[in-house]
Amino acid sequence: MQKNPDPTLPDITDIKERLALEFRTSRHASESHSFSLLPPEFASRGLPKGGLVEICGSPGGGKTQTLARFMAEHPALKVAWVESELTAYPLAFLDQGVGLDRILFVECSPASGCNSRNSSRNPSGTQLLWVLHQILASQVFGVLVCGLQTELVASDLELRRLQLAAEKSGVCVVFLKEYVRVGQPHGTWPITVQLEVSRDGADGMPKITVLRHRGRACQLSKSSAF
Amino acid sequence: MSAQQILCVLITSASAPKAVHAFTESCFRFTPKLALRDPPEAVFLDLKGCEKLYSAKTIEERVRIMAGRFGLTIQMSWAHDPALALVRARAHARLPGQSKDLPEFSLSTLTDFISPFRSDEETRKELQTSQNLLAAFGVKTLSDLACLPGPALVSRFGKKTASICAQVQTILNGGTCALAWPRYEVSSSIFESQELPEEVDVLEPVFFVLKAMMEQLFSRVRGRAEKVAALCVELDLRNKSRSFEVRFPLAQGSAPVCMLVLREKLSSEVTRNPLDDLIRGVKLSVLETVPGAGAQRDFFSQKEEQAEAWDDLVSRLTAKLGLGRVFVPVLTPSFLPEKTWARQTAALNGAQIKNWGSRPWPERPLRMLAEPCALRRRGPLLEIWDQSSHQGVFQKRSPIWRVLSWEGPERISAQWWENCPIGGDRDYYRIKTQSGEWLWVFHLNGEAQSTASVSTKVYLHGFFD
Repeated sequence: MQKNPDPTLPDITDIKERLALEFRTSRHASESHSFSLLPPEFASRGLPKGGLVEICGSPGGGKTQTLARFMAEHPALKVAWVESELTAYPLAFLDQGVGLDRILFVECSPASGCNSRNSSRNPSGTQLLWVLHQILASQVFGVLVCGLQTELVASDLELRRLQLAAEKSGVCVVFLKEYVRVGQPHGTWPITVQLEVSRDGADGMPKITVLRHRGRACQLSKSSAF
Repeated sequence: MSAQQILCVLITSASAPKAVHAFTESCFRFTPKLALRDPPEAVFLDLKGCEKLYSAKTIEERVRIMAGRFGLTIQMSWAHDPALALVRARAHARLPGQSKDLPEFSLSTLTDFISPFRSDEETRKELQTSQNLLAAFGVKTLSDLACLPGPALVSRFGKKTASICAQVQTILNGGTCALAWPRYEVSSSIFESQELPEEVDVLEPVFFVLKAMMEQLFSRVRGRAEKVAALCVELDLRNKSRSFEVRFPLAQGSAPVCMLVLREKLSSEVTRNPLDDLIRGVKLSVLETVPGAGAQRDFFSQKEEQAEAWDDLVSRLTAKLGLGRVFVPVLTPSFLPEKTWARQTAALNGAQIKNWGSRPWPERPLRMLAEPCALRRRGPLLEIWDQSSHQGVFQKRSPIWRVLSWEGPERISAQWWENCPIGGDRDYYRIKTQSGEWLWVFHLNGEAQSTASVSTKVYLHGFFD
């Protein structure tokens, strides 16, 4: 490699590295929503704008609180909140600094009117998927939350369809999932980011562990507390 | 369009008066000042002051598309006066592709010139006399008429002819006649009906017809600056008719979205209760409208587009899932936590709930059960009182919690004037469990005097998830 003849001028290698860093940072900024609660290693990468995110943990572990903090950090984002049977308490969102006028709640329980013609196989699952795709296609929302009944969207094929729709519309689709195995990355590959939330700390505040980011399972889980 | 402000739309095809009236109604979207010639063969649009909204080319294209929607063939012409615009439009229609300058207008166009909004036999007869008189003196075109000296006309041709000449001269010299525009009254009901080319027993051909009808209907509704809140489709069967009513939770201004909802509704209804005869025709009528002026698109933001997309989505989801399933929460004045909010089907930003600053009560849990679940407390342990009644809620949750700490109480008074399934004042506690969960529980005042008591009944109301 040719040496820099003038020591007062910056080195070309240094400039290239700086440009690459700048490019990476700007690319992440355009493709993702920042999230300050992620561990520092992942803070710049944030949550993807067009991808699937899974937030899992035990019940009462702080999943919804983590998501509410993310929503509070992005007040311009409109949120669609879909659940089979609504247990989210809207008033508590105000406590978290999230305005209710930008959240559209959708309750698609199996009991609700299902007009679908091909719903005999899995009525509630088919209906839920239909609702999710309609919301993604509307391109109104920045975040789509599918809460606590994600077993209805079980197969990889359906998740892959959702992933493609999310990419196309630039929506961050978040699945809230209760599961019992702690620290085990989910086997489903369309999930781009997988976070585990628990209240392990002494203060009881939710602690985020990144199990997967951008399709790769993290060898060494990184965690951060509120 | 700065000088030529009147657009005359001449209907050149032999069309039903109903279609022309519907087209005229739709043209209200461009301007509130319009007139329909009697008989219905031309529509006049006064577009003064609309230069900033549309160019001449844009509006011509839009009018042409709309006329096509109603199956009309048209010829358009601009002028500063409705009479001149009509005469020009007729000339364009008669000699397509040829330049029509004013000298070429013959005296036979005088009827249109003098009475552009109405053509009756009496006026025609009067003008015929004047035309014959003028023709006898060698006046054959309008330009000849415009050249005649004004003061000498009365003595030679009479008062009536002189006034006609003065009128023509005024218009040709760039002035306008003080003609009152007749008011156009829109019909009280909005409906479209059509017979099918052949009797059918499936819905697909009906949808094909309905799509065109829906576009016509929404053009009319938009012309009235309204949106559709409820629709009715009536299928004309051989022996009787069958109606399907569709109510939209948020009023709709878009035909394609309504078509989707209508298609879903009809398909599901007919699947459930099949038609017992062949379909001969279909009638689509608007049952209810609400004021809804179209929003002007903002070049720098997508606010209006998003609001429309929000409305469309809410309508489609509600049609599928049922009323009250798609909502924005609104606050209600109540002390009981489960009654502090209500579901509202609202437009984007229509709920008007903003963040509040300092809250007057402790933090609430993000997850709340629809009904409080009774728990049995045995020392530090909490377990479900009746497992069978809450299988749905706790199918994946641990039914036993070991409590580490209690925070509280926060007393919430019961609303004695309401019939509440769990009556009495409630003492709420936020408890931390060994498994890391934060629960929100309460016991009724009087059922347990202190948190240290053994084997008491408490109610789980939510999770700090």
